[in-house]
Amino acid sequence: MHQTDTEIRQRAPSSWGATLLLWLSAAVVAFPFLWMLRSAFMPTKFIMRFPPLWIPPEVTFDNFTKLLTRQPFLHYITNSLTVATIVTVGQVVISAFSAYAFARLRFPGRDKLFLLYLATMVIPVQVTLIPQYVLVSQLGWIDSYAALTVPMLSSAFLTFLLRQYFLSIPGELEDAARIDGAGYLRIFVTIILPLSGPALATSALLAFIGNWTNYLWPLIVTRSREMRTVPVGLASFQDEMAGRTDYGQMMAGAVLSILPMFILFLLLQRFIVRSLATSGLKG
Amino acid sequence: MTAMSATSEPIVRPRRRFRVSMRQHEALAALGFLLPGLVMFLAFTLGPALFSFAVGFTRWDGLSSPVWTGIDNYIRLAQDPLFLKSIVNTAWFTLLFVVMCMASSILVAMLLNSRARGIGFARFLWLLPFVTDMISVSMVWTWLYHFRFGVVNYLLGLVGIPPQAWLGSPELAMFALVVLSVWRWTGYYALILLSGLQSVPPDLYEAAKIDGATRWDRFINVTLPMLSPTIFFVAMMAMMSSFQVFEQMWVMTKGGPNDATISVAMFLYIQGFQFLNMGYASAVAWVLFFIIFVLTIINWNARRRWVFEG
Repeated sequence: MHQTDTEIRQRAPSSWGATLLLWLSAAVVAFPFLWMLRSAFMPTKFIMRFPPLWIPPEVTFDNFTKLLTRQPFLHYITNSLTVATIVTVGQVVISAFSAYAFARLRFPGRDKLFLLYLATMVIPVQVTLIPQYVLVSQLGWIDSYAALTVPMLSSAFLTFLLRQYFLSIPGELEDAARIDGAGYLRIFVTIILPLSGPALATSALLAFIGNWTNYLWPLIVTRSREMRTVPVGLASFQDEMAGRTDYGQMMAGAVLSILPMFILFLLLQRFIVRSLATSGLKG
Repeated sequence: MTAMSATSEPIVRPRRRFRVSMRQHEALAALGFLLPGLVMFLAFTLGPALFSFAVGFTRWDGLSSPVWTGIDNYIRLAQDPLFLKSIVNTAWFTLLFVVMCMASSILVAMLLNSRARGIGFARFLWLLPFVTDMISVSMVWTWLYHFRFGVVNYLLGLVGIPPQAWLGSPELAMFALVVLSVWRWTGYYALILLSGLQSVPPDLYEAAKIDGATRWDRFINVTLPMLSPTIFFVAMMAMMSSFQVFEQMWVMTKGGPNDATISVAMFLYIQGFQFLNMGYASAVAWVLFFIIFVLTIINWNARRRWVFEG
């Protein structure tokens, strides 16, 4: 399953019918985003109109300025980026270390322990949610970066993913290094890690997306505005408007929430498409 | 290489005592590598999982000391109409979601498996919903579904269908939530199916063509069987994630109207974190786990029936 570095091949010759259908489907999937953009830049008096106007008669930043005076959205984005980055780095580093032990070292109970890791992957997050919350509040971490990051640092899934990749690396290279007297840490850092670039990058990507989109955990462990991540901030903004929802501002909020991921995705497009295609060994 | 291993032979075959200590050395190194992950795993995954099982047999607000109540929580759950409703809702959501999502993912995977101009951009567009968070997505769809000003009702009006209260009617709300979830997940699942699709040997299609098989025949007799392991796998993933559905309902309907869209995960959140019935909520979590577990086992056994293992 390690096709991370193979291109997605394009094989089937496409008829004009298939091409038409392809672009029609792409238009359907893009439509909600376009509608969001259109509404975010439209003055309120034009948004609340039926039949809807397809093109804004005038473009305005009012929705954004109003939103930003009511909610510290840029702060939410900084929080989300910080938390997702910390968790991503932590998960990849910690999982890589564990994965190396599982893939390459012999120790009593190895396979049983690995099976235990795998078994926890089928446990829904709801099961561990309450004890995690209680633990974090006992530690006095509620409403802090520690609460948002530390409990997320271990990932059985990434450990599994990286172990599978490490197993596919031929052992001869390590044998040679061992004969030269290299220790395990040195072998791990100078041989295994450099050969695992694509797998590490895929892991980082999955960790980042997973954390960026995480809502339930940050919802539970944050109290103040200052600690909110983007999804929590956006949802609480909607709650505050309850009853008299301003859809222009709401769409402006959605635009701001989606923007960082959109930029990241645009920059790393080819890599992301390739990584996600091979992430299918999850579960 | 052979010469080298021949010369190194005496070095790598140590005396018995030395070998034992080498093993110990390796095990110690392994412990060092495992330690950070293991500590986190025990503290934040395995420990909480076991603890939550115990909490399920207590009455507890998370602050004072828990009161042991035996299987009381489970008995109450079996009689709690809202909980039972949430199970039915979640099962209904999962069924609709998995079926619709598999159909759309297979279709989109086949569309994306083409040489058309700008295919990379099309893949990009299809994946975009997956990398955006569910809250933003739910906000956008709330607006699309708006009864008076929503574009969905406008488009339906163009073909003569009267406006529907998508999120306001018990019959339609769940369906509306499923549609947006299918929209969000299709691209990701299609991408995984696409890599399965591209590993189908082209000669199978050639052979079928020579035998006079139509496009449809080839889809039914070549594509589907060859793709079935991947479809099985994606369907399992879809099932597991949709049984935990929460955000869409939480943002768009708050479980309403008339509790028509309250999900198990949402029931759990309300019990655990709004009413602070943490024992009760833990019992809910274990029922959820049990349901997912049983369904996984059933699917796994059904695998032999319809998955083609080439």
